[in-house]
Amino acid sequence: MERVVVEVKGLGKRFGRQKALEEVSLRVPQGVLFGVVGPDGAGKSTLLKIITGLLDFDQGEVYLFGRRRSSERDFEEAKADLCFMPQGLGANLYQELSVEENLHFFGKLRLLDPQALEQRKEELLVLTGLWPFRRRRVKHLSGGMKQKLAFICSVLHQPRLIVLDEPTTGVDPLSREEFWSLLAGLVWRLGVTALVSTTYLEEAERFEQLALMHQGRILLQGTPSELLSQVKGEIYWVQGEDPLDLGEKILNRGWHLFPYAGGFRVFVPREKVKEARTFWSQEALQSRPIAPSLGDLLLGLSPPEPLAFREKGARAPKTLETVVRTEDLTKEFGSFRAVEGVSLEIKAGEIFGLLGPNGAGKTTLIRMLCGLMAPTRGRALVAGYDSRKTPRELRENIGYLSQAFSLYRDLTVQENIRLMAGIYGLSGREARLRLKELLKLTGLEPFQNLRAEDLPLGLRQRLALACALIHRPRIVFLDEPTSGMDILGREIFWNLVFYLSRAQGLTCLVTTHYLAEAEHCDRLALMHRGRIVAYGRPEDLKRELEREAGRPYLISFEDLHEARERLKAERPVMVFGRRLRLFFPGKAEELEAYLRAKGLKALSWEKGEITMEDIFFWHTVGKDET
Amino acid sequence: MKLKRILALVEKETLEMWRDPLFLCLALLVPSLFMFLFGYGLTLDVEHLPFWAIDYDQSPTSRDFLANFSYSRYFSLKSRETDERKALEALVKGKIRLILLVPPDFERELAAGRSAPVQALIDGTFPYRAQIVKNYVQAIVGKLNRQKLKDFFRHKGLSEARVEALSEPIRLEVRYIYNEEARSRWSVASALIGVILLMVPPMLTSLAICREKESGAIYNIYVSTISRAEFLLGKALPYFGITALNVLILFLWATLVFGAPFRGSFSCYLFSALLYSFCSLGIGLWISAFVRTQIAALLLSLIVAMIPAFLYSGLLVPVVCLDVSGQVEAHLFPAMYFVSLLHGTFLKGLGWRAQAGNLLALLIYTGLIYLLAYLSFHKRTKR
Repeated sequence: MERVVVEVKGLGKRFGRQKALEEVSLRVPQGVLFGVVGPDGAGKSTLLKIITGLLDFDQGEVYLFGRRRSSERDFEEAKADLCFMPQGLGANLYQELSVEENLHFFGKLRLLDPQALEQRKEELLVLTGLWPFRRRRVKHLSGGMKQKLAFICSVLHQPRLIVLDEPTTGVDPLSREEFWSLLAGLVWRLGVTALVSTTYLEEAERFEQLALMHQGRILLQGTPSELLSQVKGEIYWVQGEDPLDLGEKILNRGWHLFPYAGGFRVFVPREKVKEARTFWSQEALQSRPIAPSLGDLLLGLSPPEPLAFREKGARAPKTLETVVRTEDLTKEFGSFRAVEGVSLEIKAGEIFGLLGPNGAGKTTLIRMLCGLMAPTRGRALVAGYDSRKTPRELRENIGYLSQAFSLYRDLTVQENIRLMAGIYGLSGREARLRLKELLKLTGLEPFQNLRAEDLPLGLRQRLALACALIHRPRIVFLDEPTSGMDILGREIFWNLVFYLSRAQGLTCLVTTHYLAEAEHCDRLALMHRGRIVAYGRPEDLKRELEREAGRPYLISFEDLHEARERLKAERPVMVFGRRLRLFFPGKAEELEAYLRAKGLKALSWEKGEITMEDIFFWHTVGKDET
Repeated sequence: MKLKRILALVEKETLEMWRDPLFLCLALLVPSLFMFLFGYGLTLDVEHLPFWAIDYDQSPTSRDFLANFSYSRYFSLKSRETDERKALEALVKGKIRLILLVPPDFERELAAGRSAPVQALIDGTFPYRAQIVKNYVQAIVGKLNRQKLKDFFRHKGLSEARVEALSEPIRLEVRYIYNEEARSRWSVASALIGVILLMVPPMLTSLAICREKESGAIYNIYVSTISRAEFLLGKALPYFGITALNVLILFLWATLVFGAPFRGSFSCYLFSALLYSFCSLGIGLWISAFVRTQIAALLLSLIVAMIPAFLYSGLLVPVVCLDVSGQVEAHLFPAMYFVSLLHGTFLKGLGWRAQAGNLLALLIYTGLIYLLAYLSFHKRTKR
């Protein structure tokens, strides 16, 4: 019989008037890598903290290790077998202490005997590759190293239940990969249970089982394939002559869409599939079905917001003018190179993505392009102006949506836009006109008298976009505009960006650490440690990878650990729950032969899709100097 | 209680403190900085008041009269220019506090046996200071008048004893005990130890906890098996070490820099100061149960500690001189007991036996604070 480590029934939690969790029920079997997936504010942290006894709850029942727990004391008894790693890179580490000192503290806090502590410390440091850095202070470690250290500190006492709150947010793909295999290894070898939250929907396949959270509720739980089978529709890629017209027609039918690979990625509800196929052929569109993802579960819940704000007939003239050009752009902070030798070219009306983990140098690069920061070396021409020589003219031609929330919370939507109009010196008539235009464009008309602080995140970012566009810039820099947004908010935001680029010829430079979002860009650059490691159209990058490394296969083995050890010497292997993800250049039969030659037998296998994460992984692996 | 866990916490905390220059500075230098600022700033003695003498008479008698002011330690002469407009201007600008005006014919009037008027213009912006200036002026003039009276009696040929008896039928003899020169600096410097030891330690402990709440490291504690008491002790002890160092440093400030005498039992001072510091650290632990950010911790520590420390400790006003509500509040805070203990050991030369009452109050107080801190701290939060 399956043993259950965590069981939650009808859990409810409020923060003041705000409901954080509602009727949440969850079962986590022993020895399973269990995921809690959802956007910011879905209630993931709250749920994990309640389960680990760090947060009180209002309603429901919590069972931990087979016993019902309600009081602080009940949970206290379970803590010897628990660990919890909070959100934020290395947030639970002591920055002033060295790697070793951190481990010592965690060990002593858990009353490990000195010998066992030394032994485990060494083992884990070697396993994670942190051994050479054991005397380095935490504050001088890279993000990925901090995350690994935080993880081994948390599991040093060998807890039976490992609870991790967003361990991979903002971490570079390579470290992320290392982390997943580390975690999966523990789960396999020791039979412990792991409960892990993430905001990246594309990570769902890493879990054996998962729960999808949205607005304080659990929508679905099961294995990734069980969940995917629940998607209430089919996904198509379509491309037409006039993308704006096509987009509007699709939206008018109530189907979700995202800009994708030169066309759109369309979610067609199951009962409309026939209608859609007829529609594709009637309009003489190029189309092909594509695999659904977990995000589509959420798209199926509600129709898209009708984008009535689209002006009919507006089309940007096609040009090949270069709007941004950088040559060997470099920024040094002391001995640290935040940006190194970046040479880019962005064309007018392009949506250009700048992707990379936290600390890759995205924000520094944008700041230099905006003239907010002087480069140490190299130069940047933006809208024809040198950011160093004519910063004033430059600023009149660019808009900037900063990563931090830069609006005035106590002002209403309208007041915020008017304030920006005043700052950019628009005349009264012009300002009124522009206000009306922008409210209509961003669909904020019904909310114009609400205060910025009362808006949900998605609307707030649309307001920030409106403010950045007040002076009709030619290029707009969007620094992580969708961070923390749910998929519906993202859909609107990306379609808005798409409209601006195609109808008004606005050049958009977007940064994000959600790799899946790269697919919405026309072209993109992947950044890693200040350098650009890959550059081009997303579909080209995928094709290139397929040529070079083949297609990914998801394979399950009897002895995963053994299989991984044998395979990883020859080609990168990623750990996906209880399966390995392996790139193989050839047909399935050849793969089986290859595995047999290695003395391995696949229990089952499945073809996967190339993701942006794969691309990033391939371009960073081996290029890492530590 | 597991000593190992407490020690692990103490070790980690000490390392962190040692490597964070800003925090170490707060812990080690700020108490001395406070002592320096308040020690010099809070002197209540009024001395060397700048004044302007306008002498229209310009006679030996008028010069004699004014010399009594300029040679006194309470006044210092800034100018003797006979220009009323300039003098008033200086008074307005606050450059002087007093104008003394001697009219013409001062000498002649006195010689003729008539009463001669003298005018004092006092800056009344701060009534308290104006009163003191007036009192000093009156005292000096009074002394001169008595002198004149004595001269008159002597002139009449009366014996010296008779002269004394007639001019001063009741003679007041004042002797300040404990603080022989009634120097407020002595009493302020010793009392300041109590004020500073109430202000700084709560900041240290509350910051140390809230720093971890901000970063997320507090979850290591919440999710571990460490007990609440172990945690609180582990957080208090490293800062107790630092504060103990300050107990000695502040003692040296009071005695060496401000010249306060130390006449009582040193062991009694040391014990009570350490107990009081421990109590003060406990206040910080308690505060941190209610706030989540370092800035809130800092503000709350300041408010909770500063007001009672300054108003109700007996530093500025003796507790018995407060009104009823003030006295009640004073008894609610530990500063009063400790300041009275400080005055006792420094100035009055008292020892263990005489301080038993205050010590007991501090002991009870400390126990209470730690109990409250323990009851308010939870490893499972509401928010």
